[in-house]
Amino acid sequence: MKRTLKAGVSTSLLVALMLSAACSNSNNQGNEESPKNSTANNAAATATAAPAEKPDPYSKMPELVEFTTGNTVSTEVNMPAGESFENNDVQKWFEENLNVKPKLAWTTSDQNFAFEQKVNLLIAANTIPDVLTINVEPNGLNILSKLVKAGMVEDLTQVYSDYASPYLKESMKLGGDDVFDPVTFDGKLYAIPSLSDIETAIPVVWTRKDWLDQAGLQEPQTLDDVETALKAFKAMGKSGQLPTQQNIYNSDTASFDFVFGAYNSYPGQWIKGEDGSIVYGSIQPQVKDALARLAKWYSEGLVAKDFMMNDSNKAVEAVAKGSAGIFDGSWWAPWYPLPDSVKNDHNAVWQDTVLNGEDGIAHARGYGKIRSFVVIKKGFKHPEAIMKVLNVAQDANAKKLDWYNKLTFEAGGKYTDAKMGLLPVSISAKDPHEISNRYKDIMAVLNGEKDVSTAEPETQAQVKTIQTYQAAADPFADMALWSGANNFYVGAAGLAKNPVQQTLPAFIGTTDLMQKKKTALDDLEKQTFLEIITGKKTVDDFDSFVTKWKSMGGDEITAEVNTIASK
Amino acid sequence: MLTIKKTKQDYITDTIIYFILILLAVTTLIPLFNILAVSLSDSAKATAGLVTVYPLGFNMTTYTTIFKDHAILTAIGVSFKRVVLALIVDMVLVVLAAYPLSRSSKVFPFRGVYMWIVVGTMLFGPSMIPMFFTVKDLHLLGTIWALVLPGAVGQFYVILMINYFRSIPMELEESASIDGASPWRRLLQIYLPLSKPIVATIALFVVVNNWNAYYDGLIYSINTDDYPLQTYIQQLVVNLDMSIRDVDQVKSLLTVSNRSLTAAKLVITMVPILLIYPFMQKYFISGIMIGSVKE
Repeated sequence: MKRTLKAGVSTSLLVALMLSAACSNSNNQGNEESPKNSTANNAAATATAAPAEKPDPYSKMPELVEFTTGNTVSTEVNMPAGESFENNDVQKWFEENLNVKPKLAWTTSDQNFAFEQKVNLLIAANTIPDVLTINVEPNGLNILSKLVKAGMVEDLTQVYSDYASPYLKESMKLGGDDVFDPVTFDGKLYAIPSLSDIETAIPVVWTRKDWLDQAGLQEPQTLDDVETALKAFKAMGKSGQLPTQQNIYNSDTASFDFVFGAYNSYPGQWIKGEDGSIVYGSIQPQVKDALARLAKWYSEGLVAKDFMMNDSNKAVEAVAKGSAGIFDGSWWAPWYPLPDSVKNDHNAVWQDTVLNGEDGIAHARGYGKIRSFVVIKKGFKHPEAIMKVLNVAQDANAKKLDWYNKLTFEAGGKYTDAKMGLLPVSISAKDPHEISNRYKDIMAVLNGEKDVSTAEPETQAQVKTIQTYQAAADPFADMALWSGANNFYVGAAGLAKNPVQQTLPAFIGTTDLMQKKKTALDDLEKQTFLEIITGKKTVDDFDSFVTKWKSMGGDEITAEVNTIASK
Repeated sequence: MLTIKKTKQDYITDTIIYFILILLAVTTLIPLFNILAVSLSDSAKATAGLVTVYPLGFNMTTYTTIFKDHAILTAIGVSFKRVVLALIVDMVLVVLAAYPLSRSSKVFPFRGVYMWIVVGTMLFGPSMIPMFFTVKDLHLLGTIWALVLPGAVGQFYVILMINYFRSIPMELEESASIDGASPWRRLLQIYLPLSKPIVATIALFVVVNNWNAYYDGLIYSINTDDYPLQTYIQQLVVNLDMSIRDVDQVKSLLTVSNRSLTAAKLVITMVPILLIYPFMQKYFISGIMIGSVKE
């Protein structure tokens, strides 16, 4: 039974290959008739130049290819009446131009890892849909290795090399040579990854410029400056405390990430050690220095006595209320929590930067290079059809497709507020330093150094948003516009002020030993760190923590991680 | 009627007791009033944690938004359907299971074995994956029955019911059977009418538990349209604290981090239970007391 199925699949694959190769010529002409689609044109041109049997990344499938998929749905979906994920103008484009159509096998909420739970259940039940997009967080790579071990997903090596568009391949290369490593098993590529904007991980320090001006201070550059600013704010009758929460590191908002970063320490991350092997960030001596600083802040009252009781929502209340003038956040804080701050106080002016560390260099933590990935079920007949959709998705996400921008991005577009991803299956590969590069590009246009018409589509779109905002009579009338404009104009500026040196994780994912032992280690770590900060333990207890961590299985896990990574 | 004169000490004790009780009541009510106030406040004020028990920047937009929201209305519909079906199915099954099990083993041979089966499933519940397989293989996934049937025979309810039936004097049944009443007739015309308090109690349990359950909705649904209300609500309680990888993710989280809107949705889920509770409460207290005493 299995054998016949396999034979059937490979024959049909062969037929599909031959057919699409045969059709590529006629399709090129079809593409040239639509001058809107410039990428398709370029790609088509390269395809024509190539030998005749070269597969075409953008050609229409000879027959309608339907695939099932699972998707997340936001509770706030706002689609035009009568339309859905399966039935809308974007899907129609894919059906008409690529002959590919998605079918929703199931949906889950996009919150609280409902999707990941569902996928785990379906793997156990061996009923995954044809195409799945899985996030790396919280344990996507673990799911992928399960899928590969169980032989449930297709090897995409050949499909990728034959059918990925030149633009997609180029963009993937921006991520570095090792970008495919986490999704490659025994030299075979089992998933097409989307790349992270790694700069999103950088912890920035947000400060109220209006208050600093009042106090006669400059934007903080070091941890000492932060202390000075906090004390100055207290003298002005504001809160002299840093909004902080129980997750003291690897958290987007109101954590101590910027303090750890200033000491070039990366708790919770697997990093390259001095000898080149992979070590665990939490047990490095630099963490001890950072904890000593935090213990000092705690004893001086610069951190709330009960900070370990707060979650991030609670911690930023002080920001929204207008009592705190400084907090740790991300570059996207103009989306959260700043809108509430300026709504409550129109005079609030925020600015952000990455602090220079103790050694004068602005250090910051990073993410893994891969954010999510697409897998195709073993035995799906036309993986190349999915690859073609991904090619178009990559162009769409780079805002290269006019028809797609008009529908989904520009103000007043039919699906601009739909709050639903409409691409049948999506992927995005951008320069990992997209944000700061984009910021520089946008500023060049705004300062008149560069002509809008020569800028990339993404830059044009962002410039348009900023100009619309600046022309608005009441800047606070449309908070989405406020956030959209200030995200790059103010938020991204912080990433470009000091040259940032990011330390990316040397290993991501969960190993077998971690599943058994890491929880106990994490508990020990969290307890020790909190006790050191609150003064229940001395800073020197950090050393005994390290010894204990190693003996409780930490050393074994480290060895396992190194073995896996060296493969 | 005999009246006992209260001494000074009694008054003091009473005052202290009332004071403690009022304090308890207030600590229970304040969070509820807070949610209500937040739901009627401006969301920026709510996020800033400024709202206590009265609304700031009073407006009703959250409620008008909800009643235009297709997703929550669907979820309310699913929940109502579930509660009504569960009430009917559970009550029928529980009564039919409890009546024979409440007879002595002379009338019902191997009663002990059956009893152990009931208690055994109470002690060793199935884990998630096998449950999922069972529901999937029965082709219940995505249907309302996936929410109703797996929990239809609550062992705890069966035991409560058995104990209540046993508290009814045997003589009643004996005389009925001498008069020629069949077991069905004895159950329907003698036992059930005498068991109103326990029936009401169990009915209330069933309604509240089904109304509040969220996890099965998450596991056994196929589409988000299958989510019952509590599953839907659970997805709104978001911590904006995960590792965010791009701005689109932030935007999608933001739409649900609107505290006023979330509060309004919480208020709406509370309403049905608040409405039925006062009517059922008198049975609730008497029923559970009587049912729990075993002779």
